[in-house]
Amino acid sequence: MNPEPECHLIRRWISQLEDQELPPERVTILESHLDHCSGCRNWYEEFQHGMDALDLGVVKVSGEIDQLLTGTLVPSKLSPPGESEEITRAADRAAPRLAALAAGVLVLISIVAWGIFPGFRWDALWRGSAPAGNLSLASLQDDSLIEIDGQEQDLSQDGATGMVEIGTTIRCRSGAGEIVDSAGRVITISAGTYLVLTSESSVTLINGLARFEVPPGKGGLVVITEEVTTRVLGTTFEVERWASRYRSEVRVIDGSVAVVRGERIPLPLHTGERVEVTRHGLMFHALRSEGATPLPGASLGGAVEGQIDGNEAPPAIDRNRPGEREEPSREGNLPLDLPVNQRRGGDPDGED
Amino acid sequence: MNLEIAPLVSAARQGDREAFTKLVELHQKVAGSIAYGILNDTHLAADAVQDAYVKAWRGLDGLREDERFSAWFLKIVRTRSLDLLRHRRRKAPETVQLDDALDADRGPGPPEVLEQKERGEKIRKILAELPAEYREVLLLKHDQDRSYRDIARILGTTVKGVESKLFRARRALAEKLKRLDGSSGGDH
Repeated sequence: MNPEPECHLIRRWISQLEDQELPPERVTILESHLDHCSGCRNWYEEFQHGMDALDLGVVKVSGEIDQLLTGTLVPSKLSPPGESEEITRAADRAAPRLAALAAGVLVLISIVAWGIFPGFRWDALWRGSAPAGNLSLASLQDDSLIEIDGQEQDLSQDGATGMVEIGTTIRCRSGAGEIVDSAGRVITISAGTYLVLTSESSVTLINGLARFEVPPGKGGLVVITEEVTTRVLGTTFEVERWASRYRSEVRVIDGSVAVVRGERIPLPLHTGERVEVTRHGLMFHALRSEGATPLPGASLGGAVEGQIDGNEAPPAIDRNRPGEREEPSREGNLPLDLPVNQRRGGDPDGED
Repeated sequence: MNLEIAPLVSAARQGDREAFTKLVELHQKVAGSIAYGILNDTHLAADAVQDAYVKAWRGLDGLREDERFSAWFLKIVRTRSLDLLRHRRRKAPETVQLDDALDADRGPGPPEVLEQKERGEKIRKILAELPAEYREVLLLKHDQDRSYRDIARILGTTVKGVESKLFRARRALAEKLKRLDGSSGGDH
């Protein structure tokens, strides 16, 4: 079924015709050939079918790259020409670790200060120099108990709001809360979540579960745990950390993120995918379901029994986590889904 | 295009960061296509473009002719992409496993959305299987809609070479797609 040599040439012309690069006199010859050659006509149809599909795939790829690049080519990040590129790169590489270290130091200071001076508010020492940009903190449940820098907030009413500053540590003792910044980035926390708003564009998660919704074009966000750094631009995802296990999990609900462990090359993670990261390595899990993922909020579960390393146990998993279908409504404030340790046979990590 | 590029290059050389960023943004799409063509990974492609952005800024003084900026910048993108590709081959995460079995568990969605998504994913997989030189030329043509002459300039080859590579790339893609559709019983 090999085509005639003439057909080879004609098929090459079809490709040029697609690109409007075929001279008019050849268009006439091509059309005349197609009139009497069914093999080339079929080939043309298949070719066009392939090109239509290709356009679809290319648009997807191109859109993703555009989204990743939007807002990242920042002029202010260009250092003076005199500064060596290696220094800049080293600084870039070290940034997440320095941020994590800084967060760790802050937590340590806070623990020591609390031990020596109960009721001490260490934010008074440095809050004046914190970067500008307040964030709002809202309770999502009636029984929410949220601490800012160790101070319990009066957010007993569902929907009550307060303000938090960059550099603050936030701990959700019970219920659920929502932190929103001026760029519209939303962090939803639940019982057991313990995090530090490290900077305007980074958050350090010390323990528990947090969901992040980052609108496109708002400068992105970096979420740091001891095990893994997650960089995002315009996406919704969850990070959960089990402090005592030195284990983190990143789950993408919508969009894509880049997950970095140590010096390794970023691992891209797309909608519905998740990765578990420990000190020993990472485990990637591909797409499980494409079910709709409504926004969180009231969907976060209540507190879970048990302790992990002196911190609260991980919160109940959001019913809207990727890979799982939405559950029918339940009564009262019961957790809306099983906690990790129940789902996985009694061990939060499934390791014991 | 050179008409709008030359003044920006000149301003950037004087230290105007905004002008330089604008300059790079003008090339962002084509740079992304080239980087993806080589790296076959959108995140790495974005990294390569960002790295090239910084490198170009630092090396702007070495650019002798302002109107050559496009070719010069895109060459940096290609070089950086190839560096990242080598690096990735050396340091691929050894514990990463693709849980393909879970793919089969995909839940249903609106049929047309699902079909389009699956189609997009299928093409993406086929693109990933193609040689980098094919992927590169396909993206420059189908994403950028560049002329053969433009592509030849970007890739440092001839118009005839572009036409030939594009034809072979498309033929390979169409054949793979046909095989795939045939094996799945035709889903369109």
